[in-house]
Amino acid sequence: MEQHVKILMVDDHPMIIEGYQNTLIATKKENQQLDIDIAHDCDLAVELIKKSYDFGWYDVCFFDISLPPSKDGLFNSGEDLAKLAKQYLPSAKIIILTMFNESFRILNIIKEINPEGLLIKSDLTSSELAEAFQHILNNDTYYSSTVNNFLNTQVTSDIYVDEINRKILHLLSQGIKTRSLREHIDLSMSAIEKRKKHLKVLFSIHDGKDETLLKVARSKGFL
Amino acid sequence: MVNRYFILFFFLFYTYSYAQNEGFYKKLDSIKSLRKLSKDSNLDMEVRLSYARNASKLSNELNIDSTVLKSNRNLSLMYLNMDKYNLYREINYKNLKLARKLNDSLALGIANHNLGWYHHVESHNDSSYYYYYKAQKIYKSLKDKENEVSVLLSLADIQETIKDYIGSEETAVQAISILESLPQTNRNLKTLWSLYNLLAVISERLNKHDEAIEYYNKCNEITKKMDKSDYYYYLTTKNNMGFSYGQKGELKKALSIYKEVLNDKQLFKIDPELYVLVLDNIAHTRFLNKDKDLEGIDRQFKQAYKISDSLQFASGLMTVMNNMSEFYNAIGKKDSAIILSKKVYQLAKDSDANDKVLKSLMALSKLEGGISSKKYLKEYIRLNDSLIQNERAIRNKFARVKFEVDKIEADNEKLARERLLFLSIAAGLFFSLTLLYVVIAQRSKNRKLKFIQQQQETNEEIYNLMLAQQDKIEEGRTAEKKRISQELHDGILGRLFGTRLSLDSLNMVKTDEAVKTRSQYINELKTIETEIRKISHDLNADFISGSGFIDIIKSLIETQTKAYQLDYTFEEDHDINWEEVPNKTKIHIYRMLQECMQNIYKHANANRIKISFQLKNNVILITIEDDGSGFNVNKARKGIGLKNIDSRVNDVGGKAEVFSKIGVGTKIKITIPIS
Repeated sequence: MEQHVKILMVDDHPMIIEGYQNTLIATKKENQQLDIDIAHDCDLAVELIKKSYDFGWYDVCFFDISLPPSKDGLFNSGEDLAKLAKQYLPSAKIIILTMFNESFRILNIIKEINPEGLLIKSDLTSSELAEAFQHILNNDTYYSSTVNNFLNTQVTSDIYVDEINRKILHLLSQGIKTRSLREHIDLSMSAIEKRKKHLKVLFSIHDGKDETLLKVARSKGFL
Repeated sequence: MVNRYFILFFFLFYTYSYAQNEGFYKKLDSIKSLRKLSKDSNLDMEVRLSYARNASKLSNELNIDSTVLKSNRNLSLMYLNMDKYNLYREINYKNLKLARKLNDSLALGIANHNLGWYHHVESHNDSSYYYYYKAQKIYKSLKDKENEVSVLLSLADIQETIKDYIGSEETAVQAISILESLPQTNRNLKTLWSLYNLLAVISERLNKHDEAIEYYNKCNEITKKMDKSDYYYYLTTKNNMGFSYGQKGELKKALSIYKEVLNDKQLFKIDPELYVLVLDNIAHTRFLNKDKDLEGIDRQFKQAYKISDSLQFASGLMTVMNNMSEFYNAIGKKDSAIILSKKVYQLAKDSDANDKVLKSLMALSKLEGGISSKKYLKEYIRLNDSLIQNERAIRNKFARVKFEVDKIEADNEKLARERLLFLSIAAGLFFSLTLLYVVIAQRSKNRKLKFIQQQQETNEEIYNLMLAQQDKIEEGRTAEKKRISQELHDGILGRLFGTRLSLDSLNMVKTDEAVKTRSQYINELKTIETEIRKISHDLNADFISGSGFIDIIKSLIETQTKAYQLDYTFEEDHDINWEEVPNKTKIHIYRMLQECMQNIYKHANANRIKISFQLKNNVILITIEDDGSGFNVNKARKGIGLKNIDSRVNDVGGKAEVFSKIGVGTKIKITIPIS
């Protein structure tokens, strides 16, 4: 039986889309016929999603997380596109591919979108991509091994870190100074300081240094 | 070696000075013991004198004025005791000079007193008066009342001698009033007695017999308070009192007093001269009282004559002879009377007893008739006139002495007052000047402190500026890092991933087409390589390394020149590694540039400035040039700006040179070595 699969691939790098295409075409099953639409930016992606509502739904959507924002400014990332896709194409399988392997982003993605596939580009091979694709077509979910490992440590750790604190950790790990944190988080300076102090207590940081906090958080999989 | 010589020298010097000191103290001790020995009343007078002389001689050798004065005063006392009046006078003149030199008032008073006494004894009434008067002033200022009174007594005595009775009376009364405040010691009693006796004598001279008798009564009262050994005073008073009654005409009363004295068993023993006088007085009074016992009277006269002759009591003898002459004349023995009067005349002339001469001349002129009488009378008048003139001259002299001494005193007082005034003005001036100095010093100190504080504040400011710049650099670095990471992440990593994925999928395909496609992807890898190289190059070129300080300098020059409306050129030397230059140096450079630009703005009237930094042999050379009016470097006083530059340059071990030409401009070269 012929299986017709309609696919949307969104990534700002043509090379990557080419890679996906090459892999999927090379590894598809005999009875599968792949119909692939590609978009390099949010505007086109949005247009294609909205159009597909009328001209046949996509079965699988590949979204990259970091994308140039749409012209109207409503869509800034793959996450926004995924949300739109869920709204317009409830039966479509969503696969998020991201360079980010930061726990904060991953948790956020799972929580916000709960995609069928979540793949980290850095550890993705063509066989894994093919495997994930087939799994998802069979109504399975597929997460990269990195994601799975990370989720496992999260469950075993009894430390609870809320979203804002995760963001603080993440920003600090990017080398942003505490006094510049306000530009990224909508909190007062004293509130940020309080949260940092709380984090240090939580991770049992005794020397009070930010570096130590980041090191411990990283070792416990929070980063 | 040098040290040893030094020690040896020191030792010699020390022993020498020690020996000298020892000799000095030995001499001083021997002077003291000599003086003590000379006061020992058990020794023979001559021996004591030689001790006193030796003490004085040794003192002169030591040449310490105070010691010399002390020894001389001791010696003067010895001379006095031994009646060596000339030596006494000489030594006191010396002491007077020494006392004046040492400003020793008491010694000065004593020397004056002594000299007054000497001249008094020698009957140099004017000189005596002069010294006494001075002594009295000194004693008065020293509040030495006993000595003052004794000098006053001597003064009154001299005044009486020259018949200045009123002056003498005044002086005596003055002395008595002082004496009343003093305790009644025997010495004071004797002085008091002498003063009242003098007053009585004066009253007698002025024929105020009742007053005289009153004074003698006072004397009599005083004698009762005296020691028993001073019985002489009592007897003398009695005799004098008898004389006053006689003069008054109460001959019987006088006689009874004389007899009382004469019958006193102690009289002859105490004072044979007084005995003679009393005896003579009795005889004379009896004669005046027209006693019929002429022989008895004659006998008494003769006895008095005999005793006074044997005593060589000249004045007594003359008195007796005068009275006898009067007596003999009255009883018709005119020849004897003439002989006696002539004898008196001769004797009085020989002993310079002028009053006696006058008396005898008067008697002779009465006794002898005719030409002789006239001759004696003439001589009497001549002598009397000359005496009166003499006395008047002396009285004038006294007045002058008094005036002069008083004037000197007043002058001294005025001088002292002026000196005090001058001293207080000088002290006031000194005080206010000191105050002024303190205030000025304080103010300049405050100003200095304020300046230092300001300096520190600006230094801090620059330091903060530099720190802020450092932060900015740090932020810039972070931003750049972020940019590069973004570039790697979004550009390179994505493409690399895509290429890897494609190659991976092509791995299994072995067709020719696949080989061709693979080579395409391998080419893509090459492109990525170049891109990575580019990024790596970006990273390697330290885009902001060390630019911090030079940026601060640039912004300083920019804002300053903009504010001063100057055109500028700035040349930096990229070879200078500012990271290695210590912050202190950087702060100084910043401040000096600021100072220079301020100076240029204030004084140079320039349009353009040129600032350049150069590195030559590890020395930073900063040149600041303007096209302003310039100034004469040699003539101009260094202003605060240039001084500041100097001190800053010195602080970092550098050098500043100023070149300027009027109308052309000024160039400041600052060199700072980097250690």
